[in-house]
Amino acid sequence: MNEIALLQEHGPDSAPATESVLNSARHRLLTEIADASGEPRQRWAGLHRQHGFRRARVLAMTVIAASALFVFSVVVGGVISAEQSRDRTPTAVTLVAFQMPVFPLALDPVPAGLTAPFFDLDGRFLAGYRATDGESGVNLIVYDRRPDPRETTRPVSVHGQRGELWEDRSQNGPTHVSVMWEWEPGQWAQVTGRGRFSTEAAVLALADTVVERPQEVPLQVRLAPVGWEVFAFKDDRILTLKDENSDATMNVHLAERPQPDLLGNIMGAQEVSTVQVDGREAHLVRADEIWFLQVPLPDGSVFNLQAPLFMTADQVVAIGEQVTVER
Amino acid sequence: MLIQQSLLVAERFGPLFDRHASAVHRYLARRIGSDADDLLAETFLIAFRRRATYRKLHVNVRPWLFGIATNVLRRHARQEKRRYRALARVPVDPGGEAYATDDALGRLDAQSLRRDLAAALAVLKRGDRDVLLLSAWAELSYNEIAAVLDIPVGTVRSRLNRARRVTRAALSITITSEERA
Repeated sequence: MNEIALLQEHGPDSAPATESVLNSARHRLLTEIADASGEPRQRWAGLHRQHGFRRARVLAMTVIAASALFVFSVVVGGVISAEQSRDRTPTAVTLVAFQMPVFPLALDPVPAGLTAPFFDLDGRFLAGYRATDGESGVNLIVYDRRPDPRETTRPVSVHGQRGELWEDRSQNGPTHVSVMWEWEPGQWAQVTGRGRFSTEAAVLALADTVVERPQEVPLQVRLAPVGWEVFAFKDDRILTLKDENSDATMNVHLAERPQPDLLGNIMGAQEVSTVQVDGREAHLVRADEIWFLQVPLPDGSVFNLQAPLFMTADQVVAIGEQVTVER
Repeated sequence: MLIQQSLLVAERFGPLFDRHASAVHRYLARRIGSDADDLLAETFLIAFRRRATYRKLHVNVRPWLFGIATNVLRRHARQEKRRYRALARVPVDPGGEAYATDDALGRLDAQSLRRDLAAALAVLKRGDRDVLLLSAWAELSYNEIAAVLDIPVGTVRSRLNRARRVTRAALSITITSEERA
């Protein structure tokens, strides 16, 4: 056994980090992150909790979309699509019309005191209704296949269908009560209530108010490379599209304010140019590995489009022209 | 990727904490004890503030974080040495658990070995100790250590050789005395 192995096995050691130590350090980091972004801390914490979700591809979610993903082909700048294979970086791109997934269900009526829903797509499609008290809320979730079965559920009836009801009770956190049913063949819906909605009666009453009503997510991209799909959509603010044949991704992110120093803050930034996007003066940064397009919105906020360098500048601007934000 | 994204969306840095915090804490705790609790947060705060410089190192996130943790520890070098000296003075329990290996060191019992390793770490030069422990406890390669400490790979090799020699010597003394007894 050499010195390295001896140190590993028998060198000085110490107690592992406790949960409270990790929580404390995480809190300090999240505070710094929130300060850096100017966003409320609660929002970061909410996103943090979502990291544990399974990052599944959401191709099947296209079933939920109101119509076919690709309607017509638009070749930008005369670039011809190259053959692509998995794990191989595309060398040229064809842009086509793109339709974002549409959330198919809604609560009607929305209970008093709940906000309009935000949407989140990451292996499952979620509409979240937050309450002004900060504790209560309702999540309406759809799945394109039956989720893994729970250990302990109770049969209930929802919309005349057999459903399952269960309770998630964490030691220190809030209790969640959920009900799930097959709302149409192969499509599953779930209602989860917390706070004042975390009772069996409240959740079943909410489930009875679920109606089919397609809802568009507020951040829309209507042009994308052919063969790309929605990989994730976070909290109405962050959209990631991914090439189904490679690891290439494209991100659109809503930010409260513009980056003041694009050259200084974007990793590997080489040059910044001014471009027109839908009649607005925008900034296009060429960095070592990405294009970064920052486009102002009428309310003073911006959207940032991050795209791979194998796209042309014209294509990035063309995609930027087809980004819309409903507030 | 997350670091790059975090330059645009700061919150994307958050998952890095959950992925690496326990490992970074263990490395810090082995070197400095309970004060690792505070240094863990400091390490990640510094990493977040310096994330724009990450890509220049051409290493993965994990070694990058261990490099930052090592630099944080430098401000606590005296404290670290005191910890090793204290551990080296811990008396050996005669009834301590013995362990067996195929070589001569197998004759030492675990307690006295831990004490002697601590004594060896206490006498190492700071730079040599950093390289040795980044190799042993953080399991970084020579190239990764060179990148995160900003020193040539040749220097990593020479420091590691020297640190191992000193450690081996400290253990040899124990072996000799054990064999005489």
